[in-house]
Amino acid sequence: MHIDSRKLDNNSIIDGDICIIGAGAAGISIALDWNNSSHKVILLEGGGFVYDEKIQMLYKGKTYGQKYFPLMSIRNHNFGGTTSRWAGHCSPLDDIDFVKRDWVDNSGWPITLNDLDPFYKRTKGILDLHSTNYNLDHWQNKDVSLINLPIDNDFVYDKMWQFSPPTRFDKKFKDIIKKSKNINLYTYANVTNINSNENINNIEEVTIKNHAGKTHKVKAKYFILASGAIQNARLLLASNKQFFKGIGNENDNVGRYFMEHVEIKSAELWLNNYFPMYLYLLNSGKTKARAELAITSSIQEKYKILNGTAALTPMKGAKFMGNNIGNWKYGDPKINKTNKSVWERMKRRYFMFEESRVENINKAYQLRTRIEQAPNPNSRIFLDQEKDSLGMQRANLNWVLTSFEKSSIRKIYEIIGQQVGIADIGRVKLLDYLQDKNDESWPEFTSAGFHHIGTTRMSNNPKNGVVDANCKIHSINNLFVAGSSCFTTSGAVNPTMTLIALSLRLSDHLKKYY
Amino acid sequence: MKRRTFVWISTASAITVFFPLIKCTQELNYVEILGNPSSLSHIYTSETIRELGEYYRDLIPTEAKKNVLITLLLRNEDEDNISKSSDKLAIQNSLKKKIIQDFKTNNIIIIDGWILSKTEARQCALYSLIYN
Repeated sequence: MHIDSRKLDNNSIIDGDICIIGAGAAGISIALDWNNSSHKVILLEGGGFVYDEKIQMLYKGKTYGQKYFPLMSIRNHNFGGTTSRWAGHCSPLDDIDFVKRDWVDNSGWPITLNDLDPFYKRTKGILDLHSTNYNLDHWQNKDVSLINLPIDNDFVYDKMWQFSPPTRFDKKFKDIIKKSKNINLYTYANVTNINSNENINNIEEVTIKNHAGKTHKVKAKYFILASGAIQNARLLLASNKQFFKGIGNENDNVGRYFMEHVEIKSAELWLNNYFPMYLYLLNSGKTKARAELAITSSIQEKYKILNGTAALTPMKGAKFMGNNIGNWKYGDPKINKTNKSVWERMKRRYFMFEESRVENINKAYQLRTRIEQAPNPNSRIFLDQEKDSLGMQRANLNWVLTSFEKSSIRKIYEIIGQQVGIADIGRVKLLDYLQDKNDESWPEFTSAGFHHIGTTRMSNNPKNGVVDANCKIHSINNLFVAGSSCFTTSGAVNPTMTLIALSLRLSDHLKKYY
Repeated sequence: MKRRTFVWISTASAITVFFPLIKCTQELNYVEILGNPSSLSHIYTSETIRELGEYYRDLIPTEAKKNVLITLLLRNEDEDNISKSSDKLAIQNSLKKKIIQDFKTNNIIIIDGWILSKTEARQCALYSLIYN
């Protein structure tokens, strides 16, 4: 069922069993998991079904530290959330991502990869993936042209990715949810405050507002915050009428440990001879799976580096690679979505894959890094004094990178360069900004993956995190968080598939309460 | 001049002139082989190889001389030294093994961003001296 909250009588009371705040990848996945059950699910979406500038402006905020995208345009504020423009890249986290690593401060999840495995499998149907298998052998058996470079896998291995079409949640699930008998979707329902009991250990209701000037209350047994890492933190921090630090923020962890993936061109691979590189190339819309070069856990441990991978792009196509923060000229995501000309897109596609068949460019590849960011309490979301049009304090970001990320990138390519040399298949060249070991600065073209991680991190110890292993806020009995804000570390893969898996795990956990 | 004397002088002259020439040619030949980073020639132009060699000589001035580089290139830590008198293929194979061994033992140097084995970097340096 769908209700436009602007059309409700002012001061309406909405009741349900479970209230999910946010209808993006996490929120919709959980809601669907309860579809056709006897439980009434309230799904709150701040926007509508289409882009609305006034709603989008609610995400506006300032950025400090490392240069970042405008906050207003980095997430879509409508049903389906940012799945309406995600790229569909999926790969699971690695074992090492969950482990406490003595060389990475604040690492170590309270759960393991095994705990997530069954839920990763369940993401296949949601994300329209081809398989639940991410082993190289599996894909090579399906396609003999997927030949891997002859590099020693004890050092550098081929980490497999799959590609969702990409699934647009707004298109795929809108009708299912509208027709559902027990899922009540409320659009234009922006949660502006979480109201707890006097002891601040139970949530009683949340306040929703819209630009029609109406305010409503939502009551439920359980509440799930699923608004993305920036807005999750913002809502907890801004709900500070009863406790000045904000809900769940007794230990000053809410908003902290904001992590992104540093995505940056880093090196070049020059092969001695032509090599069929289909395993490593991406042809959007056609490629089912591809590999990136990754560093094994034991070598990460040996050199005490962060987890990161190298994606290969033919040099000629690499110059058409976008995503540079510096090129992001507008705050409005609608403009950014359409400002690339069709011709530019065609050229990029042509050079990135089709042209790579031509021998004379088949020997040179750009290596582009995606590396985890070390958990850092100073990298954080915090509230601004300025309020948005619904009277809620805006969220600001201070994105802080350290020399650790940069030195890890350099080491990754030294390792790859060394293995390429041992295999005698070519040579690797570091880009200028990595050549001086002592240079800790980041180049102008430093970019990020549009991935927001951390801010309500998972930990068994309330002093070190916001949620427990079941994504429940430590100090609150009935408030849970879904999404990548719960990640303790970011890993080196895009977070969408993992955040859905983690949300399904939370959903299973909640079913135990009923 | 008696015929016998003529033959003797001619032979002696030939030996005097040609043997050092042959030796010199042989020496030039193996220096050229040492100074030819064949594995890199798949990737670089001769100009790039010369530039990389110049970078190396600037970076490690103690190895900026031809005879030092030749000695270092001929030296093998684990195996027998590379023999000057070996044929071209044998020298090239020995160098190739040495380069891979460099990568295995992390005997690596980064020049202008390129991650190179010390041996091939020295080859570039020698190349830059030979074809300066």
